[in-house]
Amino acid sequence: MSNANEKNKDISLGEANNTGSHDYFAHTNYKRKLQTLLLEKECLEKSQRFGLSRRGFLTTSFGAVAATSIFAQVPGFSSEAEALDGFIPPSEDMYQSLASATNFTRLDQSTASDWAIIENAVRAQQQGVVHTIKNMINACRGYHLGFGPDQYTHMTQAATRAKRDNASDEMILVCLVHDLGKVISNLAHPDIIAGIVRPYVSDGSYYILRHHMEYQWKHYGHYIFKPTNGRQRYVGESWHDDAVRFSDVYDQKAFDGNYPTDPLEEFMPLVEQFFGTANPRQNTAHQICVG
Amino acid sequence: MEPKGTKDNDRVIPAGDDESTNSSSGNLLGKAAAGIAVGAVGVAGLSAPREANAFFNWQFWDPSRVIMPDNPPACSGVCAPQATEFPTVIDKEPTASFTSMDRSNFFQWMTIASSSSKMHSVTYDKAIINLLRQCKRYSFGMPVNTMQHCLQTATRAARANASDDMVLAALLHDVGIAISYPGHAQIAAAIIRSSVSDAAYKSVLHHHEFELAHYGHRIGESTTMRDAYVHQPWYATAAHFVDEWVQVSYDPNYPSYSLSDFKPLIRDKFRDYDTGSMEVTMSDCFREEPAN
Repeated sequence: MSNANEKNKDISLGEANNTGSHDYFAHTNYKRKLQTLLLEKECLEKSQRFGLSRRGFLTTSFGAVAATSIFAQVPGFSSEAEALDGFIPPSEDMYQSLASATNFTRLDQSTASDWAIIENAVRAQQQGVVHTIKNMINACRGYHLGFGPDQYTHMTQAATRAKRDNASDEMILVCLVHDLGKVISNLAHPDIIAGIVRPYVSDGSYYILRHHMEYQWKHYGHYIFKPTNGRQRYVGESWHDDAVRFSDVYDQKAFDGNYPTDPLEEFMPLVEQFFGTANPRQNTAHQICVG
Repeated sequence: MEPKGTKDNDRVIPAGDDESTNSSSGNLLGKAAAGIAVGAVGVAGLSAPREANAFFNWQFWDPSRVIMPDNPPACSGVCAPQATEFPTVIDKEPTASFTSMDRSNFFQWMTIASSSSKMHSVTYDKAIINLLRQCKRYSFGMPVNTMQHCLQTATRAARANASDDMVLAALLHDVGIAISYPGHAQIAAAIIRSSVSDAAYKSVLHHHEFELAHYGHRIGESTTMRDAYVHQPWYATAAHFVDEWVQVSYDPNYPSYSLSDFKPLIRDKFRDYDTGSMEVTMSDCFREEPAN
């Protein structure tokens, strides 16, 4: 709540004016109403500018607790779309640099207004994540690592197979990105891509990506001295059946150079839907078993 | 000998060339040597078509190579995306011909193993160094950009005589920001996991939660998230890592070492191609042995 008070100073009409008894602003109801109007105005402008929901803006500026209470109190904020915290498309000047900059050299000297700047910048950069993922997928063109089709063809083919099998959107996305980590490190690629998608997908998809090599080794582990029964240890997990289908039907079959594979453009709406979200999950490291 | 078709030759790096800077190096000798090597590659690349690789090993004449993205300019505030963020790999290694994995054979997997390890030797350090460079594009309104923050953190660790593992952890703890700010800690942790000790891995994986002790109250988050790990053997290491090095490294006037000072460490830590590490990075949450 201290955040809200500190921030409200900026958008109120100044400190309480005690000089005259006829001061309009001494009237508490009037002042509160005016503050609400100003807040709503700023909220609308900034949420449009940074591509946030109005509730998202309140959360970044005042913190989650204060945002919830403000949001609940103001009638104009509680339309149906806002209640779902719907995503408002970013406006044209999203990438314009911010006028303000932070002013700390150590995190423990940072202030709430510093963090409003940082978090707004992080939000504004979110559409850049879509671009980066697209960039990573394109970086897989011509990257074979010994496989017949390059990694780009392999991943888009897996996604195409999932799409034609009427798989869920999330499964198609998992197929589309499952080997992306190879752009950074072939050996650590399951862990890397799992970390990348973690804030944007369900726990099940996270585990599928994280353990997909163990499911894949069923098909060829005996050639490279790896266990072929590694997937057995996940029998009974909620995501096990999806992982089996991912591996057996989509991933291991997606090496056919003659298969009519859809290009990346077909899947870009999906990438935007998942990675362009206004509200990725935060602070998830402690919520999951990562060894 | 002026190479044809590879005009921007300081961005084209053949396999085995040790110099992976993007023209930021003032080492003329190194640059000249790289230019000659690239010239040889360009000529050989014209005369050795890809199909020949199926029958003869032309690696010496026609090696795989990497084209690095432009060294991005530092950016304050929020930056537009740049066209290329990841290296373009010219992969000339032999390939296997199966159309599905369950119809593959031993020899095809030997081909894949040999090509993969060869590509690892071409790309292993460049991928990491490029990620660090891309971090220059992200400052989120702060006076130091993310690469400077990483270098400063690693410099503080090195000056405190930290182990190589902890210096590498400090150098790469925020490198995931080059891909996605949400989840960046886990991305960075996954990258370094097989190269460092468990304590260094956990320090990176949980650094955001440990950081919140210093500013969580400013953003409506808990400041006590680190308490969940107080009984873990790596707790003290992670707390020291965040409190002494990470959270103080936003000083634009701090004399940090440069990126090239850390390249030997990066090469040393990521050079090995050990497929056994794939089993280390998995299966740790579900410890029961598979029942067959």
